[in-house]
Amino acid sequence: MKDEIFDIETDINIDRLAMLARFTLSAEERASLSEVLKKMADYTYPRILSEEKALPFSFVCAEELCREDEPQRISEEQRSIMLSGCPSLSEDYVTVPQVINGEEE
Amino acid sequence: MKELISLNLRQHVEGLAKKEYSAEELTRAYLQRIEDTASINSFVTLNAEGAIKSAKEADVRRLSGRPLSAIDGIPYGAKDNICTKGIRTTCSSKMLENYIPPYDATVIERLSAAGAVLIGKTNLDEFAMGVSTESSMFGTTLNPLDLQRVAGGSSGGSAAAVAARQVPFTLGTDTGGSIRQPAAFCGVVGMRSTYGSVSRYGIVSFSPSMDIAGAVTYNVADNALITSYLCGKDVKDETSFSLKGDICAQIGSDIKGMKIALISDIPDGAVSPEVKRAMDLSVERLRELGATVESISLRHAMSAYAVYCAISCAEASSTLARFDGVRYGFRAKGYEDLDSLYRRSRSEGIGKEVKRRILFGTMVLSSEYKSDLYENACNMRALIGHELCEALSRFDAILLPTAPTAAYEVGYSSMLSFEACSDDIFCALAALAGLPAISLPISENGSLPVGVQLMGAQCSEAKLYRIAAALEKGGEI
Amino acid sequence: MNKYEMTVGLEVHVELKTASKIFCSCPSAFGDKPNTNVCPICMGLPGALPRLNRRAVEYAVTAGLALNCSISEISYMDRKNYFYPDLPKAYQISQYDVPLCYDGYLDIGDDKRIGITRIHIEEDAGKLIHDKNGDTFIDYNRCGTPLIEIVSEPDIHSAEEARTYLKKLRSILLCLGISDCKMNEGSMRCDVNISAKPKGQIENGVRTEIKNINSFSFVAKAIEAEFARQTALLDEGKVIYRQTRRYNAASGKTESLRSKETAEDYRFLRDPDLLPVKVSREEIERRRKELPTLPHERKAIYTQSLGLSEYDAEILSADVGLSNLFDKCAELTAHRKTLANLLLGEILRLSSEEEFSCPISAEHIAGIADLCAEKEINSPTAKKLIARLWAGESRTPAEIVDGEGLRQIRSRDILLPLAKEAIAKNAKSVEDYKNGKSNALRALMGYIMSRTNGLAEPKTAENLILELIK
Repeated sequence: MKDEIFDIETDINIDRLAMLARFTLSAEERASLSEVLKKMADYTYPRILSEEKALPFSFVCAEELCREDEPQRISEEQRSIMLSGCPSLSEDYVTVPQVINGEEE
Repeated sequence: MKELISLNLRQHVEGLAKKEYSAEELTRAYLQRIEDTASINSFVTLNAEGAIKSAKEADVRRLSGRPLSAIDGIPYGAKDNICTKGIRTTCSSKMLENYIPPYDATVIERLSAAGAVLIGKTNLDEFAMGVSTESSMFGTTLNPLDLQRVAGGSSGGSAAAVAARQVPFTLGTDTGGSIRQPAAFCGVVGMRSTYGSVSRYGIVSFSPSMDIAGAVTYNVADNALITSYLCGKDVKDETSFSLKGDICAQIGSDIKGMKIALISDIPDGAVSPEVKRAMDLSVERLRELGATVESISLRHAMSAYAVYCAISCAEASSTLARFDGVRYGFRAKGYEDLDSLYRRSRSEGIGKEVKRRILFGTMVLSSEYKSDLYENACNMRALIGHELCEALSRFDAILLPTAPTAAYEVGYSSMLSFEACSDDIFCALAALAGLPAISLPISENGSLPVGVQLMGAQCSEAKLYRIAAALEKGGEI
Repeated sequence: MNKYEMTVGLEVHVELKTASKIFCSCPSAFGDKPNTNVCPICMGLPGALPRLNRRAVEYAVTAGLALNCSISEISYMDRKNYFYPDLPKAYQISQYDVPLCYDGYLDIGDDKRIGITRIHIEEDAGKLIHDKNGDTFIDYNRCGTPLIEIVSEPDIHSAEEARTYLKKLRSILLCLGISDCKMNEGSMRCDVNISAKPKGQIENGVRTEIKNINSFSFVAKAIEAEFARQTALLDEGKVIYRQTRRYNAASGKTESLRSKETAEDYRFLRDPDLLPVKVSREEIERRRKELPTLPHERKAIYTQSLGLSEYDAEILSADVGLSNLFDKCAELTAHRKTLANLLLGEILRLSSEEEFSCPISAEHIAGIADLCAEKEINSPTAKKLIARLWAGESRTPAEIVDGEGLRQIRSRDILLPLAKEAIAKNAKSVEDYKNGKSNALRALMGYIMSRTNGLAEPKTAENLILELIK
């Protein structure tokens, strides 16, 4: 475990994070977000460190109640509200631009 | 009709039962009030026609002597991240500006089953991320007690609507304080009950291990009444369970001999003078009421906000990934391929604050930082949970501030650095451990109210309401 | 002789045959109209929450036990985060660090054991259809179909071993009745992890993953092709990159699927929407007891108790439908060898290749076996009976035989004059036989057969001829 506030300056790869989260950032956003992420990490990291290893803690009181394997369709009304909200529907298919995969090396 | 809107929920329960007025009259009165006080910007969508129709149906039931429940015909507002069938549910985000859910959230179903009348949807910080409702695409909700100030957040619309007497109660959601902090800012009562006691089905998720819906009301007794309708095991939510017993039952009983803890680890500078004063006043009143108040040390308490940041952002980065412009919601124009469809839709459809949290959460979970940030945060969360549970096995409740300050001026928080705007430092504790906590206003001659909160052991709602009701009454003396 | 050796591990995805999906109540069906078996949960609508289907867990535990795994009494559901249009929530609910089943194995030969690292449960994604105009059409019907992923140890060292492993795995899963295992419908799919290294080298080479192969023969071909690609690179002294590839059946080659720049980081986390998956000790033991007799156990019974050949037993036991039918028939007739011949011959020939099925009742098949073994009918008649019964004939085999006079003629009194006639009319063949051409007997037998419409019992007829010309 690292015992000092870790240096994130050189490590934060804002472009990679934006790629993983599927955002395009303006130059301004890149700069300000890099800075704020660093601040958040600098604030967070030292405060969550502990030498102590906690025993498991569950904040969930739920009793177990598994679903039985019984099929049930939603109503046609619900289905039509659901599909009508789709930005591009073609003959009940949701459509997007061609998924590209398989570029030859 | 001014009189009608000045009554509280329990008074309406009585008024309707005695047929002093009809649900339709009541609903029209509140709709008028909403129109008259529209400048606070608490509602984002009104359901006026639907509400009047529901109210008329409630009146028919009343007349035939078969009301669905005590609250049959009473209007309410619901935070706009709670799904309502056929009524747009926006989360105050461009991403869902025109989104119409095909189903009702379980809390809405439960209130409908009791006959309550949905009057409209209330404003919030985008996707419930924020403490001032300033990140809403519909603009900031103003504090009805002082229009220069914010109503808090993220359930700012819900708190302001109750404070402005636009409805007798609203539903909010609380992830790290989003019911309690705006309730505190607006001088009303907000409760987050034990994690899982209220179904999350249909609540647009932000951090599913902490999210919960709850009620905002004028007073403690009203709050307990609504919460009793919201609670219950829901087969649609695996993490839900049913609270045993009547949570309203202890209200009115005294609190002599009860043991209340204060957290000694909160540094003096952590709260404003008026909050400090409100805490002192509360302690005084609790003692007057026969409770003992004692300071205890919770070593990890001041880490709660850091843990909350890491975990809630991590969960949000995953939970909000579904907003990708493919199946519903906003899809940007002018994309060239799938990647630009994703990136443009998300970049244009999601606001700055939410983006920041998603990116931080992405970082927290990324292979480079997961062990440092996510795993340590989970460990610390468990330490905090054990510590709180241990303390609450010895005490009936912990008393702590709801927020570090009273409501601040619009625009103030955006000038602050990330650390300084950590309004949730106190609220995060109950959220992390899944504990119930209620915020109630402590006001002193004319100044802005300040909220204090009482946090109890898991499933101790009935006792918390009892203590809160006593403290509230004490305030009236 | 190749100077390299391959190391292969397989990840097999199998759709479970539950009635509803793994996290919602939508029917889990194949071939319905697009986006009809969908709901807020499997479409990932805001606010919708998953609920685990208990039967999916039961099926996975059963698979784990049949594959000699340990079962976790508590395991967890995790989110695997990545964007793809077939994945509505932009994360797949799967199991990451604590799978439901672990540490198992599957024997694919007398001395070849393939380790099973783990079996976990997860949800399937939707289906993408690409058209020529540059659009992709998405059907979410398959979204949320329960899957188990069976991950093997890298214990496989040839394409043939991979194929055998898959066949054995499939026959076990079919025997358990938990999946259709139809590779052509995608209910069984395979990812191959493969690396090459110089023979004798201890350390494994850099591995690549070939995704989503949907037939046994493509798996074998993909392995051969990728091994050839890797060894060619090694020969040239080039670097092999760790990457995801796919098999192009048209070119017979593997090709790169994703560039390194967009490599995903799945950022696994426990799914807070779902409770830990609990399976009690008692339930595990109960399911262990309830396991059906598995193919390798059936094979042992067939060879050891029923005296079938290794070869017949292997084929019979590999297909659960065939094996079940054999077991049923074997209770009704003592002539198991004849029964095996009937099933593995004419009946297997008539059944479709994809899935064994047979419309003839066990009673009738056993009846035919009895008639055959007791020499009441000959094999052409047996074939004829099977064809008739397959086509829906309602009489019993014995009724057909008697009604149409199909019984073999075993009476020496009837056959003796015919044998004499055969000898008298085929002097040349008799001569040839006596000169050592045993083939010549055929002409004599042929004569008797043609005179009896093929119903003469061959052994009796042959004996008579031999007695007469000796």
